Amino acid sequence: MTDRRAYFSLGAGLAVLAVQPMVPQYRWATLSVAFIYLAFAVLFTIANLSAKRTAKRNGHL
Amino acid sequence: MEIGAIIVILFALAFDFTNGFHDAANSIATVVSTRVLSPRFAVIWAAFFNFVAFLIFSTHVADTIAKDVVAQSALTVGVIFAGLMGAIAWNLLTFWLGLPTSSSHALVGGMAGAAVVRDGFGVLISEGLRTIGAFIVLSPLIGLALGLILTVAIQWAFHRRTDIERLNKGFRRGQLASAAAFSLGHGGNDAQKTMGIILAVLIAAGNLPPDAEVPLWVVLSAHTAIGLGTLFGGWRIVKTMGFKLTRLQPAGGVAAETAAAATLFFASAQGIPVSTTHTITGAIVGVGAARRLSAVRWRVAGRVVWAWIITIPGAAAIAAVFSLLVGAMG
Repeated sequence: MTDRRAYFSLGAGLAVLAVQPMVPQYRWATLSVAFIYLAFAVLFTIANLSAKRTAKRNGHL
Repeated sequence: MEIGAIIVILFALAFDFTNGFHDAANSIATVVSTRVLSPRFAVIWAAFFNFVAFLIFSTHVADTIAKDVVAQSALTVGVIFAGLMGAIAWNLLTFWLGLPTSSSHALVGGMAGAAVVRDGFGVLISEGLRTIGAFIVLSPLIGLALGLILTVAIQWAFHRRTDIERLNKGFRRGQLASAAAFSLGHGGNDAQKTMGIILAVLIAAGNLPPDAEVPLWVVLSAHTAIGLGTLFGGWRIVKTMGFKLTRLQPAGGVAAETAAAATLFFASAQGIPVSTTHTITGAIVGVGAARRLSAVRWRVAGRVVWAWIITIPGAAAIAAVFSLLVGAMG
């Protein structure tokens, strides 16, 4: 299962994207924040998979 | 200057004081919860930086409040008075309930409610309200994103260090700077809301032309009022922000305050009135969530979000009642 933090980041990124059309004058600022959240979603997923792989290799799973 | 305008200006400064009392507690929540400063020194520290913020920020936020929420034709001295009373009543109610709601949105809601009940929805300026509404959601999310980045960066930079005591000592010193930066951001954004109200009153009373800038005496008096409010700051909200949302270490405190300060600096430079409460809450949640989601006490965070949702309609409804009363009294 994916890290819950990844879902959280994904949700926050989507919330930013949903609000973005209300403030077209801050397009780049809002898109940057959404990108940060999406990057964290990927980062947390990779960290979780890596931790599971390490645990499996060490015989904990 | 007419007596009505003077009374409203005094109420605006009283609102600023309650804003300091209610919101500025956020400036010191993390610095107190990590035991970097004693509560008494933390309050003095925050009040000082609240006051000197006028040296750094221009008055774009004040212009937004005075000119971009309600059409100037509808902003009479009576309407502004009713809006202020709605915001003050809402602030006191939520302070009593211990809810970290937004004084800023109480003010916007109060002004909108007081004007709408007199002249209908046509007096609201949709573009200004849309931007403020969007940043109700965006300011905590920007604070949260920056809190996440800073926490992960700090963890990555110092993960090999084993001398935790020494590291914590360094971050404790760093927190003095980050708390000062956050207090500057708070003073810069929140004191300007009062300046905006006073500017609107001076324009409505005919003491200034519609395109006037904020006079220096207004800037100084607003910063003095918010600084004094901080000095007499309340402790119920400090408890919610600092202790209940998540447990903070000095490094987390630095990350949360720096993230919130950066968000407030951006908003003030752009002339967007945002809630310092929303911003620091988002940043604290970001710091907690970077460790693990269960580090955040979601029930408390949910209560905070619920308070955000009801602030504008709640303050608007109270202000509408005041507006009708003021209208009935002529």
